[in-house]
Amino acid sequence: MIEAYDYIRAQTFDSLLALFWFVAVFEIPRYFLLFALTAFLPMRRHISQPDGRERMVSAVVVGHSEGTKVEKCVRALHEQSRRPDEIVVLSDGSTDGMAKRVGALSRQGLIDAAHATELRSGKAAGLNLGARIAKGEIIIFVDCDCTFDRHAVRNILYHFADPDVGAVAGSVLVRNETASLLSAFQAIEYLITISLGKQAMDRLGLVSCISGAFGAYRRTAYEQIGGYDAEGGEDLDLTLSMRSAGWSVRFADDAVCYTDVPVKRAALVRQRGRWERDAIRLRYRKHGHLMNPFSPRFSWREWIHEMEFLVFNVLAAIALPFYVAWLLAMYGSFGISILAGAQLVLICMDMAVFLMAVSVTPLVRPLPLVPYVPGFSLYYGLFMRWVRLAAYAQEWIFRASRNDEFVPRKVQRARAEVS
Amino acid sequence: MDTTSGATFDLKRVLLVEDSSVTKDLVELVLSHAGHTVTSVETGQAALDALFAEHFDVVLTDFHLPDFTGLEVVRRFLSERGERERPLFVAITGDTRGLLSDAENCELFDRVVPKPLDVDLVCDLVLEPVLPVSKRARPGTKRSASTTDGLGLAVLEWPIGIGPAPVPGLPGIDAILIREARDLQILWGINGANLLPVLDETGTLGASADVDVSTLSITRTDEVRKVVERFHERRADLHPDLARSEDPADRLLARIEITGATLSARMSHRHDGLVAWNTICDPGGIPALLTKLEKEGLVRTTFFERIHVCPSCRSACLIVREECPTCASSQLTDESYLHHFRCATQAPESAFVQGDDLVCPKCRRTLRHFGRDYDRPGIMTRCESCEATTVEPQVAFVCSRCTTRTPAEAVPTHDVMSASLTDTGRAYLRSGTAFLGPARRTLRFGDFPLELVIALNRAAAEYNESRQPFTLASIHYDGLDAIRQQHGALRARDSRRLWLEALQQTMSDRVVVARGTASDFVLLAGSQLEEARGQIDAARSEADRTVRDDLQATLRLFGPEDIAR
Repeated sequence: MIEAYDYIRAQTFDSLLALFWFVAVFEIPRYFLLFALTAFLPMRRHISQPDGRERMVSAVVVGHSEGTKVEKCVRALHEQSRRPDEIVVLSDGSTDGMAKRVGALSRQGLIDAAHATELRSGKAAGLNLGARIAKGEIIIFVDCDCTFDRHAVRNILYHFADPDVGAVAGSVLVRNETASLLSAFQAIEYLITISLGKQAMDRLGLVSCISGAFGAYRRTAYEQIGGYDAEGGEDLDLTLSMRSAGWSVRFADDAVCYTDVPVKRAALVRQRGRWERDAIRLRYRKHGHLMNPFSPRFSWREWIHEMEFLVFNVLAAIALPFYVAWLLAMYGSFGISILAGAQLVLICMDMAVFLMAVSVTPLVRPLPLVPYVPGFSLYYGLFMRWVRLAAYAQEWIFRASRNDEFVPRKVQRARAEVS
Repeated sequence: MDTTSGATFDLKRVLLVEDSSVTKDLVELVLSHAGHTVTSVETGQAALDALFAEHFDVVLTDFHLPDFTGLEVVRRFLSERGERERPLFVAITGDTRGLLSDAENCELFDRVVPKPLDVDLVCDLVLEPVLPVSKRARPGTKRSASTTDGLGLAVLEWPIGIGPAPVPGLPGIDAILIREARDLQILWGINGANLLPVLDETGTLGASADVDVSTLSITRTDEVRKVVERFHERRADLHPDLARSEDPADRLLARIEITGATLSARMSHRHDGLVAWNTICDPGGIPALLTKLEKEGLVRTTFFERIHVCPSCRSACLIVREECPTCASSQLTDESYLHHFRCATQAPESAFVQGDDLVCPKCRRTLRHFGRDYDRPGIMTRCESCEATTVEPQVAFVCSRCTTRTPAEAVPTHDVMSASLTDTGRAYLRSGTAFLGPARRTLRFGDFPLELVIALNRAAAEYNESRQPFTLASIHYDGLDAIRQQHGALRARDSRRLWLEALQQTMSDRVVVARGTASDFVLLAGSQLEEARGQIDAARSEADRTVRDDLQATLRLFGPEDIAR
């Protein structure tokens, strides 16, 4: 290690850059961008106004076999300082008695409309039915396994005072952050990429994805783009469509919802694999026009957004194995030491970004997470990149997103016939 | 006798027309003891003379008099004096059926009392106010022929049009004939109505009546006779306390016994409670009575049905309906959800229907291929009134009587029970109120048969004059219930009668043997207690030998001192 330290000390800036080109290209700009955007761009304040009580607000909850969770979610909605005017709950072909639970909630008067289908139609179809049944001017989509901060709904509604805003993303934080090492890392990840990342993007007007866990839509905007489309990743899809249609999409950092993340590695890999496959399919197949300068809907803002994803997510994941191979080939076992050295730098940067994320994220409890920050770069820089790389490869080569278990087979078949 | 309470301030002048001295003595004794003025005559002519000579409030007349009938007495009096100042005419007869079958009798007499005379009843009758003329049935009203006319039964026709007003206890009546099913609760309220078979001429009472006589054929007339006979037998087994009881629970209990030991519930749309039992007693009151009887251990109940009732008016005539959870309208229709796979549109079918085609409301594609383009993932309910949709309509009950609407979860229920008598209940019905209290098996004057009262009076008078002792033995049969259960009521009664006859034969002529309801009695005039005990014990073992069934008779002896106390 001392050897490596001495070696690095002996390097010039140019040779260091040659040695750590991966870090210099894929890591430092990422951190720098986050930092610079959040620190130096002014925050886009929402127009200050009451809590949008004059608008009718509907909450739509769709779940598949989530009978044990749905009541907690509904009760959390009733606890809101700005209670939704209407709560619509759908059981999408549940097999666990969720339909019964939903019926019971309806009889208790806790929800205004209860619907259940016998066959599973998929999340997108469920959300579309929910939106059709709901009567509100603003529709808030909520996942069954989410719970909320008391002011989440009130805070997410503020942004709709701007008539250009078509949708607002809520801030999703991790509820089970200390359940395992992986969940702690994910908690840090959500803080940095979702909370801090979206705040940064919000400053550019480029909020990338309204999480299906908690997002609000203006009905006119929702109907204009025809609601959710079939296939997975429907939340990202809807956001991209909305921005294509010219609607502004915002991020409400103070509208906090909590969710459980996967605790076991296999579940995490499955979940992320699905997300990344859907992202590739949606960004480069379905919404490829966003990057085409000759497309009538092309905009530089969108292009920057797509580039950000391309460089920091896709290319970084692809380049990582080459970098490691190159390092080992050039320096032999000494390469390991160099990597470790690079890791030290990343840990320092991680800590800085973590602190920044904590400082700009309301309602987060950072202390339990601090011990895990040093390991975060291993998780995010190494482990997640491998997961991504595998997902990208599956999607590019096998179009694996078609076999996504989240989308019913009948829908996949219908989609396959189209393309 | 202490049965003439309240008589001191309402004294009547009574004319008793009776040729039998036993009856005459007794009625005279009882009525004058109660403070009434009693004039007794033996013939019809003497009665008329007395009636023309002075004013009487009540005329108790035997139907068969040495010179002419009691009816003739009434007729002659009325032709002379008219309806004004008319006393209450009460016929005393051993042949109620024959008397009641003659329409003229029915018009002229106010009451008909059967022989042997019930002293309590006579006292009650005498106290009854005389009805003003207008309240009586108009003479000459034609009575329509009834289906039971040819059966030779003494029938109380309901509603009461013409004829004598019912005497409390309905003595001498064999059955109640329902000609119109109205005011049945008033009928049930008449003392004694609970012990008579109900013949339904309207055909609408169902099992609440005992026999449906709306279509009477030869087989049915036999059935009527059998039912009347059966009721008669069972009625004879009841303790007088219970036969006469005014307590609603007692009356129901007696009715259960008399119909054959079960009170069975059934569905009935004619009552607000939607259930009825095999009695004309108001079904609304029965559950409370059964609860009381069951608590006392007299009946055993079995579950029949759980009924929902209106929380505001308690009626069970509820309309059950599925309704919209939003606006409570029941105008609901079922509709499929349709799921268009390709664009994730999921909506009610009506959003897709365009003529014969299904067109996606979002992407305007025509849906052609079920299972490939689209499917129907479920059914929803749509409200035609407010357009709301739901997966599960709520259920509510609307009262058809008071229109109160109640959600299904909030509708109160109550359990309808059938009931049958327990052994305790049966024993209570045979032994009277004494059975339940601490006074069980002690001597009660109310239980004494008439002939015993007369004999006891005589013996008591002799004891008072010349210190001539007497002994009264009460006989209770502990084995009677067992025999009844094993061989039936008839056999039990026969055995008891036989035993008593055997006892009587082995004893001297000076002994008075009297048959009571729960107990029988032997009065030995002129015998000391110890002397009597020897005599009775000897006779008893002789009687036990004669009768095959083991009656397990227990005898208790009382001297003059015991009775005076």
